[in-house]
Amino acid sequence: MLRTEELTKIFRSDEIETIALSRVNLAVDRGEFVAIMGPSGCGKTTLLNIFGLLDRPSSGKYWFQDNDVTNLNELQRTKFRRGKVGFVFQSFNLIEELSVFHNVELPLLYLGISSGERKRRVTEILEKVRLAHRRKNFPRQLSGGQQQRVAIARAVISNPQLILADEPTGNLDSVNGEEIMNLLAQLNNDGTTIVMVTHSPADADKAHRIIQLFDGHVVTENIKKAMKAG
Amino acid sequence: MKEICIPINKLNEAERAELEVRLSDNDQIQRYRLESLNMTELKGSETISTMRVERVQQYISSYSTEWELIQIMNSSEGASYIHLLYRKRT
Repeated sequence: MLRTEELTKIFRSDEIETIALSRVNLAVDRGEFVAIMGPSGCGKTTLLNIFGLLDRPSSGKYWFQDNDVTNLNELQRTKFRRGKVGFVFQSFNLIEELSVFHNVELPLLYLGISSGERKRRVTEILEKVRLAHRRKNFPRQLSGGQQQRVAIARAVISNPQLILADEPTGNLDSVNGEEIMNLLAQLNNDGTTIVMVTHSPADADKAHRIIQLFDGHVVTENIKKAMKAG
Repeated sequence: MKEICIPINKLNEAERAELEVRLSDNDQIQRYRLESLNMTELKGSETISTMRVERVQQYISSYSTEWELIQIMNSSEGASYIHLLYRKRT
C-alpha cells in the first residue's frame, strides 16, 4: 500500500539544517495496522505527513498504491489523496462553525457527492460512532471523546483505504481513549489500513506492527500479531 | 485504566529501574526494565547523530530476546542518557 526508499526529509531555515528523517525504508501492506513510536522530535509526525501527502520528501522515493508520488506538486498531491486518505489528529481539528453533521459531510462535498447520498452516508456513519443524536450540535457542545469520534467519522466518510492518526488519544482520558482505539481497531478489522503515531505503549499494542523511530531513523520493528487473513 | 505513571525518587540518569507488576485477578506478573544508555562520549562528534542511532540500534539488537522494547525516551534536551523501556515476554 505504502512504500518508501531512502526517504529523507530536511528542514532548512537560514543557517540551520534539521534532518527530520534519514534514509527511511518502510513498507505498509494493505489492511495492516502499524504504530509508529519514538521520543518527541524523532520524526514521527513528519513521516505521517509525507505518508498522507501533506508534505514531500527532500530526497528518496515514496510510492502510494504502486504510484510514485515523490515529486507531485501541492495541487497534484491534494487531488491524489482526496477520498483515499483520512486524517485523525490529536486536537480533533473540527470546524467550530459547522455542526457535527456538516463537519462529517465536508469531505463528500469536495468529492462532488449528491445531496441525498451525502445525507445517507453521514447518517450511517454517525450511527456507527453512536453520535446520530448529536448531529445538530457544534463541536464545543461535545466532550473530547465525542469530538474525536466525529473526527473519525469525518476521516472515514469517503471510505478511504488509509487512515493516518496522529496521537488520536493524546487529548483524551483513558476511557474515551480506549473507545477511540476500539473504533480504529474495528475500522482496521473491516479492511482499512491504519498508520498511527503514538506515545502510548497500550495503544501501540493494538497494532500488528510497531516501528520505533529515533533521530529520524527506523531503529527497530516489532511484529505484534498476524493480520487477519483475506 | 491502561497505563500507570509511577513517580520514582532519585532515579539518576545512569541507573536501571526494574519493576514487577502483579495483577491480582489472575496472579499474572509483568516485569519491566527501564534501561539507561550513555551518550556522553558522543558529544562534540561531527557525526553525532549517526553514532547515536548506531549505538541505539546496536544496543537494541544485542539485548536479550526475552525482553521486548516498549518505548524509547529522551530524558531531556541535551541529556547524556536516553532511556529504553523493556517488558519481559510472557
